[in-house]
Amino acid sequence: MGPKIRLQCIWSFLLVPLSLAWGAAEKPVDLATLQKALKSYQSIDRLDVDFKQTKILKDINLELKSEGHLTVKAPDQVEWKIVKPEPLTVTLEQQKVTVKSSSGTQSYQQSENPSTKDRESYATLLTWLKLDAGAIADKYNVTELAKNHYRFVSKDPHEAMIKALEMEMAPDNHVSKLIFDEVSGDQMRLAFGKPKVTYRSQK
Amino acid sequence: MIKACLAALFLVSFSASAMPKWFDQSHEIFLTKELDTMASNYRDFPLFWWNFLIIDGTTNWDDLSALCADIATSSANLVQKVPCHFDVKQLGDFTHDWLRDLPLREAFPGDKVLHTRMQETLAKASLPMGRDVLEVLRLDPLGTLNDLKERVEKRMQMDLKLEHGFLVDEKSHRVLMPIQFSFSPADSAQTHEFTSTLADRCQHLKGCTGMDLFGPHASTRENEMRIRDDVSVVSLVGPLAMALLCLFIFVTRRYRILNLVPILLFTIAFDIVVTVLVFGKIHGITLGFGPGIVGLAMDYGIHSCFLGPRSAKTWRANWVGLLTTIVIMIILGFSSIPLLRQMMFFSVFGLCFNYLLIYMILRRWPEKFEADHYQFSPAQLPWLKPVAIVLLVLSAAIFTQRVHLDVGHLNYESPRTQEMRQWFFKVAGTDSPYLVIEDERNALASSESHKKWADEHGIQFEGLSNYIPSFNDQTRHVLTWRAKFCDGNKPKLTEQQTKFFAPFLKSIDCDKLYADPLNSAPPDYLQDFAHEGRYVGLFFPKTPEQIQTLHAQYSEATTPREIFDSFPRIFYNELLWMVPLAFAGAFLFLYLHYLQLGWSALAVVPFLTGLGLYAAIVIVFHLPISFISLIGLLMVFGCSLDYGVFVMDFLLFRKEDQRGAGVWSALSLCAFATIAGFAPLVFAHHPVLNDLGQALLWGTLGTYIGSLWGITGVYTFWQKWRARA
Repeated sequence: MGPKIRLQCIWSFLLVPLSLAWGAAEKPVDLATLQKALKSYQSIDRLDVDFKQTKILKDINLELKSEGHLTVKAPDQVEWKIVKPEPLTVTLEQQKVTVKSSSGTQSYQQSENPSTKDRESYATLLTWLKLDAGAIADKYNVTELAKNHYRFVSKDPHEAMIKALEMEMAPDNHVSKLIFDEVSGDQMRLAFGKPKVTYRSQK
Repeated sequence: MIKACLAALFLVSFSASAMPKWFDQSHEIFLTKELDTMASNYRDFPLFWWNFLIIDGTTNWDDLSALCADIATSSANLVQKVPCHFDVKQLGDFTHDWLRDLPLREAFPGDKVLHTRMQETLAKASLPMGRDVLEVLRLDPLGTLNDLKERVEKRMQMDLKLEHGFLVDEKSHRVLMPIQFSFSPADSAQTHEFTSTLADRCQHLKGCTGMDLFGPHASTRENEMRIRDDVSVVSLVGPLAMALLCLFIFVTRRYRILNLVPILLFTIAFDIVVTVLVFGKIHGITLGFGPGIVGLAMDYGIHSCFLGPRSAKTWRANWVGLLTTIVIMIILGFSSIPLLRQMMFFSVFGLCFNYLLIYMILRRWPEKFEADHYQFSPAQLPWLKPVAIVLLVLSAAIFTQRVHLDVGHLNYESPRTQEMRQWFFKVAGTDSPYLVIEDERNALASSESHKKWADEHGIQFEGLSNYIPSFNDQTRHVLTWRAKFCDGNKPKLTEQQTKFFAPFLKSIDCDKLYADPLNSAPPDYLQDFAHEGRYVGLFFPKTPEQIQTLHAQYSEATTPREIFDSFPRIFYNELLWMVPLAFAGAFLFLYLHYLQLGWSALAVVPFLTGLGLYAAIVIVFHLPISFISLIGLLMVFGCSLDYGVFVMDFLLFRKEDQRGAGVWSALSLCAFATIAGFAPLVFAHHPVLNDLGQALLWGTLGTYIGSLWGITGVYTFWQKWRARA
């Protein structure tokens, strides 16, 4: 047995307990627990929240930073408004996507979109922005990494866009951080401020 | 029997799966040179390589999208574009060339606009998205691909709803998937490669009740398949009939007649070679009809075998028969329709060459061919005399029938295709566009002028100018980009912009940043309009007034329908002078032979009885009479004059001759060989083969009745009438 192989064995013995400890920290989360955690989002009528976003493009080693405001209106309308670096608003309503910028407005129906990938991505994004617990649990295996810190891994090995996601919740149960791990290797980090929420019952 | 043999040979050769290069089966041979040039545009330009996959029974978009993706990937070698499957990678060259040519289309928008658009694109890129979409954003800060998408979608304007990249008819729950192939419709082997997968694809698509291809490729393939299927049936019946005839000759011990077969086979082979040398190719129809016409030369051989090759009277009748036949063919050979010219060349050359061989060989070795005639005469079946007289009268009925001269009639369509075509033109709400070829010296300027005129008259136009501006405008645009990006100049960009939009900045290559006059290979996004340095443009007039205005301005603008509709006009105009002249020429030879109008007229009786029987069958069974039927009748006319001359010569000059009675055996064998050879064609479903079969079968049978009982009936009546007078 040469010195190289011996060294590998030692490393392996050291790493086994570490990985076991890591595994033990991840606790599977069932639908009921997830629904409980996201309870405040299930009955909202309108949600307004500011966000700061960083997109890390792995291949070209570039970080794209932006700031904006997210508005979710029940049942199906989401407005993703980027204020900096350049105003751009993406509105998702039913099957209609509208992209508005200073250079004009583009609008198209998702049903007309020939790209299956795009349609799936659209559906996934909508699920996340609405924090629909049932839909999320359907598509992802959910584990709890720490208190109020969850990890979601896609059940679909052929998932086109988001491979895994981490979500942190603030003590008052609003989502404070989302980290999207894209299939491409890129990452998107979103930090949310304190949301202003109107519930259906309050209306 | 010989003609049956030839027919079988033709059919077997047709059923071969690989068509040799010298073999032609195009529709273009029906067209004059001028019309063919126009028609070839529809074949050559990829713009006309679009077909539609019509799917019945399901509108499950996930399943349909999977099907679409599967077609785009597994048939990638056959399919050029499938709009229902958007894949940036697959559209690589298309989008690359479009993005590269941005400086030709638009002037540099200015630093401020570029900065703003880049920042907007960066904002878009910050959303979650696939790597391929991100790469497109890096190449396209000005969003010019959306512009391309809008322009391409305009090309496919129909009255159907677009969903998930498919066109949908909600009423009939039918989905239409546009597909552009990467090969011309003429390459039907490749079409077959695609269509052969459809049944399996439909089986694996939940709810699918039908999946068929509709369009130029599908139609070409369907016609070819129909001919092959027909041939596989007919080629069984043909040889069977031939075998029966052979058996009859063997049983009746007339072996020497079979010595004529090698002479004819040699003639046919030589005739095909000469025709290919003269015309470059030989059309399937020529190959199908020609041997039958050349086979008429065998009638002279059979006639000689039974009536004696040593007799001068036999050859005199043969010469008259030959001259009356070829005079018709020579006159028809002056047609402007290439198919007729080729067929007539093939027939006249083959007929003369075969006759020459028979004449030399039979006169040199008569003992090798002489055969005893059968103990058969028309007197044994007297009841056929009144039948012949009725047929003679019925011949006039042919003039009451409508002749389908349009090429469209010769296009085979299965009931399913007919239903799809009717549905398609009902729901698609689109008519054939009018095609113009852009001026080859300056295609861009020509296209721009067409577009300008179309815009002024509210007519939609599709062509080069929708995608690339004129050379002058390009130059103007390019200069603005050069001023900003070349000769040491650089636009003011942030570090982030420079890094993210590196692919875009790289695409502006100062060494290649010049206006494109389209002298070399066109960019990929213009490929649909291009073929060998020529470019096409399309007008879409909606109203009769717009069509009229278009015709007045651009008389050369035409649709496929207009091209093919011109065929009957040309053919009809030619028939108007050719048929009377051909009849007059044939009649002149008859008159020179008999020196009496009455005897000459009697020789035409078999043709009239043939025409009478054909007319009766057409009326009773509602059969169509087409261009092909007319050519079939022409063949009948050729053989009927031979039969008429043989019978008249017997009645006038050889009644007392011992071998003279052989004429009935000769005519019977000739007629039954023709019938056995071509009658199986009536079982064919393809209009070309069926029309030909009907004309030949009934025409020849009627001619035979007319020759044996018609002429003798009229002759006897005439003799009695003259005696009484």
